[in-house]
Amino acid sequence: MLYFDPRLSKAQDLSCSSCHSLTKGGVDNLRFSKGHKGQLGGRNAPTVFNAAGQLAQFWDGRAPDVEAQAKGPVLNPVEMAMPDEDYVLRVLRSLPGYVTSFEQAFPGEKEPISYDNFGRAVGAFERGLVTPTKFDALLAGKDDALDAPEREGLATFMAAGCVACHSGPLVGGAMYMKLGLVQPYGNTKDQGRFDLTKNDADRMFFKVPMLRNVVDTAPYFHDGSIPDLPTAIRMMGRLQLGKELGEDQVTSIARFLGTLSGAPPVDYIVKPALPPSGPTTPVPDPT
Amino acid sequence: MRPRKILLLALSATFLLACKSDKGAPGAPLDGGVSAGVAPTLDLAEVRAAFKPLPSRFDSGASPATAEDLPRSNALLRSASVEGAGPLVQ
Repeated sequence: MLYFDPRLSKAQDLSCSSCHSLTKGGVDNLRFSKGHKGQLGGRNAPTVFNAAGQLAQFWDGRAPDVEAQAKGPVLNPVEMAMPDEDYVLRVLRSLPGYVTSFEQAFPGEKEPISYDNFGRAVGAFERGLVTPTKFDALLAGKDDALDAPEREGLATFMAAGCVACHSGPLVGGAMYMKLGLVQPYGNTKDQGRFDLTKNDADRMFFKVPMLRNVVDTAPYFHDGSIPDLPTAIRMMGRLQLGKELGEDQVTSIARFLGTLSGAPPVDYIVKPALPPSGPTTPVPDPT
Repeated sequence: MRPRKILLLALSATFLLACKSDKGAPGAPLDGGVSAGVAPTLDLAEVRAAFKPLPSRFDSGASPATAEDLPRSNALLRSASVEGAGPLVQ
C-alpha cells in the first residue's frame, strides 16, 4: 500500500509508483521524472524491478539497499518533498489502516510506525519485484529456451565483451564502472560516484545498470539522453569497449536483450485499496 | 579464494582482453574472429558461469557481490591500461 500512496508526498500527488510504474517496466519512461511542483530530477529513474538484487541503490550507490533507498525520495525536495521524517510519521499515524498494518508487520515493537520501518516495509515489497524470463529457463538447464536469433544475440553479447560488466543474475547491477572507459562520455556535468566520495578515482564511475527489462526502460544512461536501445548498444560498444558494432551485431544483441523482459506476478503488483484518511490526516500542500 | 571473487577477477580479465581487440570498422570481427553476419558460437557452459537465474525473491543480504569484492574488482580495472586509451584513471 505504501508504494502506491500519494499521501506520502507533500502535495499528495506523487507516490513511489509515479516514477517507478509497475505496469511500465518499473519506470516512467521519462528522461527525468517530475517531482513536487513539476520539478525535474537530475538523473533518469531506474527500474524498480529486480533492483533489490543490486550491490547498492541509486546510480552512484549511495544507498546500500532498497530499505535505505525507499526513505530518500520521500524527503527529497525535488521529489516527494515531505518536510521531514516526523511529518511522514504524522501522516502514517493519522491513517487508522496503517496503524493496524504496522502493528501486524512489526509485532512487539514499542512504536511500530517509525521511519526506518517505513523503509523496511517498502523494501520488503520491492524485494518481491522479480521478473523471471525464458533466459532464466536457459540458465536453469533448458537449452532450447531461446530461439536461434536470441541465442545468436547472446553469443554476440558475450563475444563483444558486454558480459564483462553485465553479468550475474541481473545482467549488471553488481559493480561500478567508469562511463567513457575507452572514449570519453560527452556529458561530464554529473561525475557519478565522485560527487559522493570526492575521490578522483571515482570520476564518471556509475553503477553498471542491470539489463533486466532493458527494452522497456528507455530512455537510457544516467542522464536519460539516449532515446532508444540500438543507440545505447552502439554507444556502449564505442565508449566502453572501443568497438564499432555493425548494425547486424547491434540488432542481434538487442534481440537477446529482449529475452530479459518479464513481469512480477499480476496479483503481487495490483494496486491495492488504500486506507481511508482519518480526521487528522494533513491536507495536500502544493506550495 | 571464494568463487565470487574468482568470477569477478575472470570477468575483469575478459573485459580487458575485449578492450584490447576488435577495434576497427563497424561490424569488425568480435572475439574469436567471428565477423558481422556470422553468428559467434554460443557456449552454454560459459553462459551459465557468467549469469545466474533470478531468485524468487531477493532476501536481505543476497546482493550479488560484497563490499569486499567490489573495490578489489574496480581497483583491478582502474589500475590497468587499455591499448590506445591510456590508463583507466589518470
